[in-house]
Amino acid sequence: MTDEPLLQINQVKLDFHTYAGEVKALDGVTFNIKRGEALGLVGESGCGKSVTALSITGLLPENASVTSGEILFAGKNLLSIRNEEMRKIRASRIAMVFQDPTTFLNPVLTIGEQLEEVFLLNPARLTSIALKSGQTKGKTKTGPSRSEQRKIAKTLCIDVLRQVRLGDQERVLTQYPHELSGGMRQRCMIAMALARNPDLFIADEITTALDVTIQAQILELLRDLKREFHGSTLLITHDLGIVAELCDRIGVMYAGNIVELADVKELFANPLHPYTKGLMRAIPMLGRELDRLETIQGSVPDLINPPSGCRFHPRCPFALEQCKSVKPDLLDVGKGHIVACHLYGEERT
Amino acid sequence: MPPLRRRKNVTQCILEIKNVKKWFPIVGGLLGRTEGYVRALDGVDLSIDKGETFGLVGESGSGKTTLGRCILRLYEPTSGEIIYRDQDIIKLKGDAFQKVRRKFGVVFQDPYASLDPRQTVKSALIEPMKYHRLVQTQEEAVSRAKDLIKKVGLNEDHLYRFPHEFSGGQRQRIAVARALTTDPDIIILDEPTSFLDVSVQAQILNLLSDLQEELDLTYLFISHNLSVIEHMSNRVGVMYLGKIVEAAPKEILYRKPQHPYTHALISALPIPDPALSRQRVVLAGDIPSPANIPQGCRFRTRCPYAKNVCAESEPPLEPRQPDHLVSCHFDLKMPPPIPILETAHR
Amino acid sequence: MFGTLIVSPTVLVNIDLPNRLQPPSAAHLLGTDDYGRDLFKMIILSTRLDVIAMLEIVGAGVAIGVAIGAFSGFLGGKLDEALMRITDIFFAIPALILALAVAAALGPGLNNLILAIITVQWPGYTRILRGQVLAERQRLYVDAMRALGIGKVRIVLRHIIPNTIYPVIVQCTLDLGGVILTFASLSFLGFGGSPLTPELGRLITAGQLYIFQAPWLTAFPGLAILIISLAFNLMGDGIRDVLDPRLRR
Repeated sequence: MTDEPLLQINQVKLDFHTYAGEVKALDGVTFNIKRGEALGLVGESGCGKSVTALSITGLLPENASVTSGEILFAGKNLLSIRNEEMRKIRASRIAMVFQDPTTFLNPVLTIGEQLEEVFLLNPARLTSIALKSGQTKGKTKTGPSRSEQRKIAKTLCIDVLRQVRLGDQERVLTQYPHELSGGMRQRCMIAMALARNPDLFIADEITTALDVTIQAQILELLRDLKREFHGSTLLITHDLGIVAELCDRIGVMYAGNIVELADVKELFANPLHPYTKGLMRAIPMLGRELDRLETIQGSVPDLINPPSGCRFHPRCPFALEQCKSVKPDLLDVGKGHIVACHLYGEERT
Repeated sequence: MPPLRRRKNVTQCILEIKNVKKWFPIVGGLLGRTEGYVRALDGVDLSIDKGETFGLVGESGSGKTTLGRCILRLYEPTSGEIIYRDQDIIKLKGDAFQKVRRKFGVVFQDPYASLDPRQTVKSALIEPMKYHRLVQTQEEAVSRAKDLIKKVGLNEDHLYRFPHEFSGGQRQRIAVARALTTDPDIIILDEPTSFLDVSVQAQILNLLSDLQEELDLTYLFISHNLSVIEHMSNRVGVMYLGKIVEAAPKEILYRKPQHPYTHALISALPIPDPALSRQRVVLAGDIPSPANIPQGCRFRTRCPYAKNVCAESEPPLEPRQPDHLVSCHFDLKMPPPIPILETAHR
Repeated sequence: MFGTLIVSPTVLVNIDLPNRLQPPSAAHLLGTDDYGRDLFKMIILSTRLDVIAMLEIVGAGVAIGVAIGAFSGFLGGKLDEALMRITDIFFAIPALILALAVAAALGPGLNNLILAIITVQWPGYTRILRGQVLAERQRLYVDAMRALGIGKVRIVLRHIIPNTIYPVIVQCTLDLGGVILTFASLSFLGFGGSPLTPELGRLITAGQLYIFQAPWLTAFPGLAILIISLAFNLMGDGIRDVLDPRLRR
């Protein structure tokens, strides 16, 4: 693992233009993803975690505009490259999987056709496989013919379906998305993402819409894949249990900012930011005999007119005077534990 | 503060559900013949005691939401009895039924859809009071509405606003206030916090607990979220494909479940503790459709312990211990689903 | 009931035979008709009659349509089936012809003409509203009210109808322009009221006999119909634009 992170996001600010006003969705998001690591991004609705993922992949809606910052991926700033280049990156280097497989999968194509498409987008890879296995009848220079490419693609399809623990792969290839259950569709989506052999795999709330026992299947699959998959993963969810299980590091987001970032064990053992602490105490956890849960007073702020200074200050039980006017920077308080809070201002590294 | 929300020693059954079935016909073909049935509820038995919170847990197709709706008679049960204070409410009609209906309140899952968007909060609260003639004058109605809105943690001036001016959490508070307008005994809570953020959920759950203490309410709490159920309930019932497969006090259910489905369900839960290592029970396959329920024990297609007898006959729901009902042919000794519960936590 | 408000005796009084069929002049802005009556005055009176008739037709149509559509949609079942088949029958026959037939069956008179057009007007609103009601009654707040024990009639009147009526309002403002054309057309053909009735279509009927000698007798009433129809159409558009952002909410 080289030291240089695969993805570095620096001070990204993003606004949405709506008829009600400018929604300041991201307020200087900064974090990185190292090679081979699984980073979890947690937060409640409106915190900006999905928006961050969409800005990495270049899939933002039309009314969004990045006002400052950069997203460095393998040296390039993704915010400044052309659409065509971004599309190529999405085809082979960054793959994203969403919460709702029904909107993601084309209902009129079979799973086989959709998976094949992904492989056929990368003919160079097919060619190298063909040459290695001597499967091509075509000359070495021109590479395998279209039908040969499809044969190779089909084998790869079966392989990747096996990777996502789908049985009876040949049959699945002939089926349409509506013929499959929710869990199976989700696996197909993951398969389509892995088919690209990406450097970065982004999963946005992929188990939220699933039943508990099906979610368990997908979580176990993700745990196994973590061992086999050598790329990096960005896992977005509101469920702290999932990130505890699957991630190496966790970033906590609130109202468009990263408020805390740490190794998973460190974060749960030693949460620093008042929001993180509040969140952990507000979740009903098995085994805790409590009559009442601790709550965070107030509610998520309106991002058209967000609070000044630290966006959490109106709800923070520890708010200081300066929290109302000065936005805290991200500070490293040791062991790679980063927090954006004035309470820890003295411990500068 | 009492450590567990176990109610008084004398338990009095307030609602008894006996073999309730709800079958939806599947109409197909050119002639519109009934081709089959979606057996959403396939013989549900359960009883709820006064003042307790009964948690109802299950996944898609379990029928938990349908059961809530049948109790409220938003759906008419196909067969069975629902006995409230010695009366089978399914048999009631007209005025008699409208009187009984007042005793049941409901809070639905979707705070955005459960209020009429064109009605002010005040109007929404006053309407049921006036309709049932629970108040004599407008002033009395408004005064009660003010009390209720404050009870759920909002202000008087919120009464004059419209639903779209509120956040999800606030709307759920309004929904709770509305449920209380008819002075109910039982409130059916159908996934009341599923659409809410975690921090707001905590506020609403606390509110519900407080109100239960104050007003001596009985709750049927329906959810797919096992952590929330564990926090809120006294007893818990687990539903699968239209039937209760296990019901027990929560401490026992979560630590020593006796039905393999319950065991898998609890084991599936992601726990926010990275230090925890465990073997999760992963069920094979998908949940069968309620239109096509397996013969014999309905869980056998996914059950790691299934034997031949499971395909031949359906195990009845029986008490293994006085307060622990299980429907399984075998007395399975399964390991604790989550080790964390064995030790005192934090 | 309807028409009696409208016919004013002055219509008969203004007959001035020596001045018949005069072209537009200073004394008579739009000329005179074959009875010597000032055409401008006649058009004003007729406009009043036409507009009131139009509002009555659309108003009654909406009332009937909404009532049938709302209860049919909400209660469903056999009642709904029966009412919808009846509505379908009305739809199956082209509106103008059906109105003609009903008007002929009811006999002469303005009231009967108005009733005839109402009979072809209401089915459209029924269908729109029923569609809306079918969707609205699935909404969660309806379940909440039923669970609270609130009766079906109250739910339909106080909640369902107010929430579903906007498309009907929009539609009827659009219809206003068309209804007046229907009314004038049938009146032109001779239905409704006596030949002396000040009604724009009837003015054209009278005027067509003199179309070459006195073209103003057909041109101006025709123009009046056009302007009124257009005006209400544009008003309907405007109302729709105002209501739309609220609908979008």
